Amino acid sequence: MKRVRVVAQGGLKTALYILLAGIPAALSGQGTSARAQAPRDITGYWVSVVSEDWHWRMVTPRKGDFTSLPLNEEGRRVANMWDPAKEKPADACKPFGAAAIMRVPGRVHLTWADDSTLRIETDAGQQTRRLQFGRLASRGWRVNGRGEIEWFEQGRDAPPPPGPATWQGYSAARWDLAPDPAAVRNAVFFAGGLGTSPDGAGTMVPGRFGSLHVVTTELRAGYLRANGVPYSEAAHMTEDYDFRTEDDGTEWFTVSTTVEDPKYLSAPFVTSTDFRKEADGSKWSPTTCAAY
Amino acid sequence: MRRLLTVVALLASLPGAAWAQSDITGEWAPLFHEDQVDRVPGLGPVDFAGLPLTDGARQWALSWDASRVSVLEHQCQVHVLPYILSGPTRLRITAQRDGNSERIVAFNQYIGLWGQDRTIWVDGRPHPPAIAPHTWMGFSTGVWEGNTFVVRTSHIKQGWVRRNGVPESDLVTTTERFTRHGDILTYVIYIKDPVYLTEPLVRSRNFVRMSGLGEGNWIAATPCEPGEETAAPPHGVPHYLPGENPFVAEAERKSGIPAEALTGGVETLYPEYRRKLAELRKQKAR
Repeated sequence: MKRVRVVAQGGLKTALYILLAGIPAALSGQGTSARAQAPRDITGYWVSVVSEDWHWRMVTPRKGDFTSLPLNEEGRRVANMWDPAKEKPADACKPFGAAAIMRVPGRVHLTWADDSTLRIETDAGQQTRRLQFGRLASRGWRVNGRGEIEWFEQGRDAPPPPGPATWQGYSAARWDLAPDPAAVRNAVFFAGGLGTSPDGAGTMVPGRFGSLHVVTTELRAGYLRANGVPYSEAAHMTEDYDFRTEDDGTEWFTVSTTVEDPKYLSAPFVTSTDFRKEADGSKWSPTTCAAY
Repeated sequence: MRRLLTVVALLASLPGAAWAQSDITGEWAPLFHEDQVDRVPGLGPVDFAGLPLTDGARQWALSWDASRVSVLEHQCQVHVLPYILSGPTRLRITAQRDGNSERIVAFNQYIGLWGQDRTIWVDGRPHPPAIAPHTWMGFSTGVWEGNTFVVRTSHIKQGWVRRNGVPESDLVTTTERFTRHGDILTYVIYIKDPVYLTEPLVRSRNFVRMSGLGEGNWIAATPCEPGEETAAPPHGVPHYLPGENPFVAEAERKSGIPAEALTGGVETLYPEYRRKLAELRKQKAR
């Protein structure tokens, strides 16, 4: 455990502890449900805005077009064997597995299945992802009972439950929360002055912010792209979802995705995909994998 | 008092990440796992798909002849801010401190592509009035939203949002977000251009933290000296008149995408366009 000790003694130590005591909950987010910890209401319908990789997302690329992908030799060999005429009905959802689904043009519907399960449904391919909170170790900064500021890692990542590999795999999630400046203003007062960061690195906007961190494993082998570019059952994926409101009031999230696959990739495959919130589900258009 | 100062000094020395901010300073290399063709070799002429263009922007882009970059007046134009961090560039971010207080007053970004320096002020200063000079990188201020560094920029010169002739006006404004996830720096830019875009254009890119690669991986800034490169008549502006761009048909043939889609527009950005596109391709194939 990395620990930063704050040296303080006697009355000063007590005063410092009092000043810092108000922030641990805000820093660690402990003791509340995942739903309650969410820095904003993220539920609703979101549309993918296809301003990137248009030629590789809006149409199925030609066979052998691996542009941008860090495929290894085996990955290229398998991709070059792709023959759409030989695809079986059971293969129809291969381009809609977790490692690719957020890149597929479509809409996603975010809802809380319960206090610790965030559900992501897609209209493209009619897939459902379930992000399970409470399965990853908690990490963050807190103030301990001795008035020390410390980095903590609580618990350990729980192994995936037994079961067959699936298109959407098993996703464990946690919030990586940033403290609200209002919650740390006492501590900040010492170092930088109210409303600024400790080293004076600029104004901190009041509010609750943070990323949604997701680790996905237990994947059934699928396609990174619809033209048969493979990922294997050994692939695993990490995602960070960052939600925001632009100055014009529109709400967005960007999901940064890293797919690692020792079988078919020579390096981690990193993309970031943008979604804008819609007022309602009126444009929701469920389409099966085969009909997409 | 000495104890108090000790505590203040110790708190001030805590890593930025301890309280609110990621440390985004350092050297970052781009990852080209998305939009690689647009960002490295460059898309060919007449490929504006996925851009929410106005009719005026489309007309400008269709009249653009790649030979324009050889015109003396254009040779030293650099990628303007809305595009430059999409390009093949490394990025160095440093903090600029006030000499007296040691507080950070700005973050500096050195962008290896064309050796551009930009300053992002975090000391609360306002943006200048509209009549102030415009530059390639514009005038930027930043704030923190949790671990995300949010940068707002105005006063950018006229340039392009795609380097195959899609224009950007000098009324453009941008909001950029830099968020660090481990060794990946995710960069999102939200571009508003009241002249050439019908709705804001969003782009997201990723950089990876460089470590131990050494200075040799940086391309030294090279001053640009314009000079005659072709035998074209002086002061001519290469262009295509409406309806005469020969690359429309070529772009269709090479990509298999109908010109209606290649010439962009807001409709092309949304998932439902796939159906229309499929229909257009069927019609073309008949």
